[in-house]
Amino acid sequence: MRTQFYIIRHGRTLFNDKKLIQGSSDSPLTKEGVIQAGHLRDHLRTIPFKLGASSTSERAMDTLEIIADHRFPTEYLKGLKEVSFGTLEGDPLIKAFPEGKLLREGYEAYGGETPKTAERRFEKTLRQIAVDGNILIVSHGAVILEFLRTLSTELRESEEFPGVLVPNCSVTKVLYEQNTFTLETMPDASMREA
Amino acid sequence: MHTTFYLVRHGRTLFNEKHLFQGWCDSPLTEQGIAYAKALHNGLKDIPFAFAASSTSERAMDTLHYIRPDLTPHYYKGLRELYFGDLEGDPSDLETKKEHDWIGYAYCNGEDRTQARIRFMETLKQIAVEGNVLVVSHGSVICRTIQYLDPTFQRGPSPDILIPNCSVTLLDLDDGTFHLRALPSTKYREHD
Repeated sequence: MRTQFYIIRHGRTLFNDKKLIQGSSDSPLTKEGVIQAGHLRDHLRTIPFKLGASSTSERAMDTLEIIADHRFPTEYLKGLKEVSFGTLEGDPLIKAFPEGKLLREGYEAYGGETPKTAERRFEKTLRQIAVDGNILIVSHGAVILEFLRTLSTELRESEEFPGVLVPNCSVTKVLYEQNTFTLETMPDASMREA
Repeated sequence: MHTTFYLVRHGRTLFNEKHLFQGWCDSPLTEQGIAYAKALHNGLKDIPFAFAASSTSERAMDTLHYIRPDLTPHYYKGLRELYFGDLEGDPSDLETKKEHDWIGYAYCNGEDRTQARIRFMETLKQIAVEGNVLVVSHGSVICRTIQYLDPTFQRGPSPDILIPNCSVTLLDLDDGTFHLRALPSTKYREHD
């Protein structure tokens, strides 16, 4: 079995604009976010997807449905959700990223998750839905980055903010074969443009 | 055709506790919110539902799942809360909110209160089937619907108080006409 995952971060949201912490909480896509997803739909139209899956956060579900455009089946899975920041949700971004990056010790002190815990359930979910063919995934910046860090030394060593390394509506291709994930292409935001 | 809607407000959330504007934005159910939703499972387990629906906000989807995991859920944008526009996620001072809840939030790119009530009631009509329909939705749209059907319903406090989390309001729809059958009640969540 050979699964080609297209891993996409949701389109830009109101809380992205307002610089508020948005992990297990959610806010609507902005007009810009909807336009980004529409361009992605057009660029990916020729690829035959067996399935599209997103987290259960509406920003991801909406991004997925715009891209899928009823062309292939979709489902919503809790395992694809963003890192939970616990009671910090909705607070100014600076509180969760004091030095512009995730707290390595995570957010369990606030009732949330560690990046590692989130990465494990994300990866487990990918393994569970893997089928022969192409699968489109819509998920979130921090959890996608944490997953890609297990596959790429460059990303592991980067100190950049998750939202910069994994931009809104970027596409990352990851191959899953013989129980092993391989990073094929780095996060690429070019397809969110016309 | 006769439909009886069991209108449930979602369980208590983190943003309810933090007093943040939460219309189309969303936050997870608190432990208490989950406990009430599970209690509602007991309170409503003997009712035969022909259809189950919630808004597309995860707090409503999760509440529906806790109440009746045995039913196939259907999700509708039209069942979402009033949209507070640019205020989403901001601290909601209760006094300001009390005033603007009767004016609406079109002034800050959100929804007008009547506009929200109409798309909510239109969605109920669309999903109506013969029998009982379980709907998990939100405080302001449920509150406005009640006030539209019963103008004597009090207007003082905020919808957050008038429509408690996990309360159940009964609404009949007979051949296209709505009737309020029972005001919001928390008795269904008192079951053990």
